[in-house]
Amino acid sequence: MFKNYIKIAFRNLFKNKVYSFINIFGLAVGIAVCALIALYVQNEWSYDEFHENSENIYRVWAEETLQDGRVILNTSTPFIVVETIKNNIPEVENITYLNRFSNVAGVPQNDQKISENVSIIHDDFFDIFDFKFVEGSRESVFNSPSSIVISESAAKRHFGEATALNQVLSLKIGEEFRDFTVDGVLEDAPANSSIRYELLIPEQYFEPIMGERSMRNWFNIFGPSYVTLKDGTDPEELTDKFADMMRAALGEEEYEMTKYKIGLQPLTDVHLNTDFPGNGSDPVYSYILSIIALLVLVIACVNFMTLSISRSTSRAKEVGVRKTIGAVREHLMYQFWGEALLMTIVAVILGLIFAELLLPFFNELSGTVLEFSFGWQNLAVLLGCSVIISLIAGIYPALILSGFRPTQVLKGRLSQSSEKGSFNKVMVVFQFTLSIALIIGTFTIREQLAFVQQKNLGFQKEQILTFNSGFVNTPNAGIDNVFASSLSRKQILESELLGLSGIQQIATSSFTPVQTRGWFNVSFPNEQNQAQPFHANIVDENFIPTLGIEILNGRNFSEENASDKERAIIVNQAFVDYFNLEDPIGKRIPGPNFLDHEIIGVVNNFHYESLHSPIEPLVLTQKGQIVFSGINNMNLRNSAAPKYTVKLTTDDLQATIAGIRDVWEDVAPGIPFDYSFVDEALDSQYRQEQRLSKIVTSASLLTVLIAGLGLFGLASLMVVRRTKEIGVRKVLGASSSNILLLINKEFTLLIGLSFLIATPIAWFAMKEWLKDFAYSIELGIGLFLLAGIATLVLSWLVVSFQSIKATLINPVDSLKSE
Amino acid sequence: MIKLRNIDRYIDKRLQRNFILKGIDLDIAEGDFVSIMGPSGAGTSTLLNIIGFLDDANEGEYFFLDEPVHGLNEKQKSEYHRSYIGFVFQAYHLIDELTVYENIEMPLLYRKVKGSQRKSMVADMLDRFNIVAKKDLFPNQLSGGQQQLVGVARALIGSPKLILADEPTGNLHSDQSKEIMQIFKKLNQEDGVTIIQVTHSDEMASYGDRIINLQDGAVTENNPYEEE
Repeated sequence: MFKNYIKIAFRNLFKNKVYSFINIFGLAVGIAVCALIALYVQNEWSYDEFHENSENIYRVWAEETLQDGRVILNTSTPFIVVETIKNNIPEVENITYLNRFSNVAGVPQNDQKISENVSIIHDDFFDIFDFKFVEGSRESVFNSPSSIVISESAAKRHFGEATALNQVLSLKIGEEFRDFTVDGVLEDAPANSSIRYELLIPEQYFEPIMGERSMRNWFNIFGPSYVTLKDGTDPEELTDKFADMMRAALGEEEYEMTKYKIGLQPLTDVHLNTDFPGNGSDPVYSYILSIIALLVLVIACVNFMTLSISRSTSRAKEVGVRKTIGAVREHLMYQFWGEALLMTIVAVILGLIFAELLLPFFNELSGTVLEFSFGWQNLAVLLGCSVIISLIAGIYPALILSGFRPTQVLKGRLSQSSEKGSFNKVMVVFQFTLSIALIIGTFTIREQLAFVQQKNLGFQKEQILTFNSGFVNTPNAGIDNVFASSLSRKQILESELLGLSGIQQIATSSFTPVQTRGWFNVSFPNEQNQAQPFHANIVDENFIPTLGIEILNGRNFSEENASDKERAIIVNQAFVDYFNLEDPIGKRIPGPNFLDHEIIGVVNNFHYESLHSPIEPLVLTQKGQIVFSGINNMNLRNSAAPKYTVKLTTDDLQATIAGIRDVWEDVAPGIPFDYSFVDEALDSQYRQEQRLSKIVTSASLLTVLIAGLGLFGLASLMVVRRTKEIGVRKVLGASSSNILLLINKEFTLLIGLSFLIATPIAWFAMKEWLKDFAYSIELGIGLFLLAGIATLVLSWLVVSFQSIKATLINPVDSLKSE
Repeated sequence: MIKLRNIDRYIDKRLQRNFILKGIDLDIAEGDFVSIMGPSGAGTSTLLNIIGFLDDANEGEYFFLDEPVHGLNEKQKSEYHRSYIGFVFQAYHLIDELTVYENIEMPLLYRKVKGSQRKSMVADMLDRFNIVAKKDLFPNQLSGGQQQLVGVARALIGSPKLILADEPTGNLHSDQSKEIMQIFKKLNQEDGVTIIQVTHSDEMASYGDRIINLQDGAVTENNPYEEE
């Protein structure tokens, strides 16, 4: 019996090649999308679970309450927290920090130094985490103060294919370079690790790098800290102990004022929990992707259903015969479901091949490095999925087909009952609603991204190059002193560079427009003790002209005016508006404690943050102390180390950059020349949106493709079903265009209905998405109409392909068959 | 074997009831060869469908081998289809995707006959109807008469006690029709199979030993030629 079913299934598969192709190809595409996205989601949800002890590893968080009542939660912790926890909480087994900062490193006998991320860790790091040693072992590392452990890829960067063990690597510690001996190489952290590392050095280097004061300060935070607890300890039970610890560490008064809290977050929770700040990813992203994958699959399943039902007339005779021979309904249901299963299995295999082929493309889309691994477990899952998909796609057709009564079908009196016809219509509307909604989404996202790229940001972004000055803010040198050092280096640079062709101007500033996550983000309390926020940047007199920022009122900083360096500030229009300054020139920042200063100019608003944020009040100054003296709170999300901005006017970028590099290597030997172009860097801030755009575009293309295939199949079946009707109409004098219209009208109405349903859904979804931007396009009717018309035109093409065939049939042939 | 008592079959329209069969009383004994005749729309096919359990009467009683059919459920009915009743259709109704061999074999699959036994049974049948050479062909590669031979072979393979044939020769030309009728005759006489056929042709009807005339859903003449 089973063999018989398989035989029939295969013969049907080959006999109706078009339908088999539509079904299998559509399902395979759906399955490929699902497989890829499942891989991505599985990776997202399995973050950090590869540590044997992952259930018992926690990340330390710290929370403090500011004077104005704002609560700041941080997963970067002060250095001192590790020692304090170690001394006070006996339940903690191991604890380490992972204080990461950028540094330059190189092989001592070699002049070339590379920018590297260096992390200061506690010895316990190797006991907490399960990163495998490629060279060396747990016992051999960190036995001497000059120990360094590096990642496999760092080893490759510095030593090539040679053994890294016992090689010497030089790092800048404080003001001078020091030699370290590699005594361990760790594998690179896997793709699903939230902990990343390149070079690891022992804790005693914290002081020379960060300064003595930072070691004891509870309000100066660096990197995350991780702990493991002793067996059987519930982290909840430690809450009180942490509170006691903080009370003792800070003293009663400060503890009450700051309400400083310490707590533990499970490591496996780190990646997807957006309540905590950090580099995790938003689980919404996973959800959106999963939904898209399921939608594509469902649309493919819908094709299967509608086509099977439309084709049911051709199987009806078989059903009738089998029933008269003694088959009961169950037999037939198993048979038809079995056919669906067979088709699904073929589709699954094909889908996995697609997925494997598309993986590199998908990795580029999602910014991941994923790989498929096949095991018995996966095979079981795949089989399970096949059964489920075939159930979804096959059960309704199986029910319909097995329900035919032999007396009707054997007499050839089977007509498409209106109930089945309306099922197909609902399904077509469902498919096209999704397709149109996705197309609208695609158009909107693309238009917004184009808007973002073309929007006038208020400064010139083309042909502007930025790079680090090489000076960093250290705890012992004041920010203004570091800035002054960078200014003197700029003067040397200027004298060399301005002679080169293609270089127009050089500016120095603490922040550049590339750093779109905000500049010095500061606030001062007003008389009502409300925080008055504004942003600030330390700049030289070239900053405004180099970036082409428009001065609305007053003047730029001037070298001729010596007092500008001491007491001049320039504000933006938003500042004037926010603080309601009439006639702003000569006014002050309206706070009591700021050093002596006055506003000498007002610049037009320009976007120094991404277009996600509105333009906030801004102060530009040559002396940071003017701002720092009057504020009570500062939030830094970008490095304030001085940077140079160079305005180019050249056609030969390569040569100009090579020229700058030459000069740079003379002026600042040993400091890497890592430059970026402002326009390129600005584009990359919308990477997440660009990714979403690519994904939605791909999804809508696939959906339209699959829905279009389904429509093609339905139209061809409809034409077959109505051959006789068309013949009669032609005999009665209908023209070809009448016939074309007749067939296309039915589908046009359905697509019109889909459009009406899709429009509000897409409108709400896109409105919600655009809320993420402070500056966005207006959702115009044109965009929606475009999507609707595009779908309509496409479906007309697809349907007409079939209906034209119908009009060409000679009525003599189509009527003879009866 | 078949006992119909006061069988009504009707369709309710909004205002009136359309009778397809009305008050049919009929007895058919085992071993009969009956031809049901009547103009189009007289209810001949419906009567055959009711006898073959494919349709249910609205009123009246039907006993098959003294079992009340009106009390059987779907499963029991298909048991009878497997073991007692074989159908032959005007349009042959072979399954297009199966070869001649597989079409004939199919009823055995539902009766869960073992593989080796199935092989010999199908081989016998192919032999009997002289279609061994055609066994791997598909229905659309055969002539109408050959297709109907396969249809008869399929009906016979389950060794049914009753064969129901709805205009079995309606699509065939006369030589082919005679061949099929001779097969029926032989089956009836040599194997004692009960045969009921619907036909419009007097010639075909004459192969049977009893004729039932239907007119507007009622039996008008039972055995009109008996006196001859």
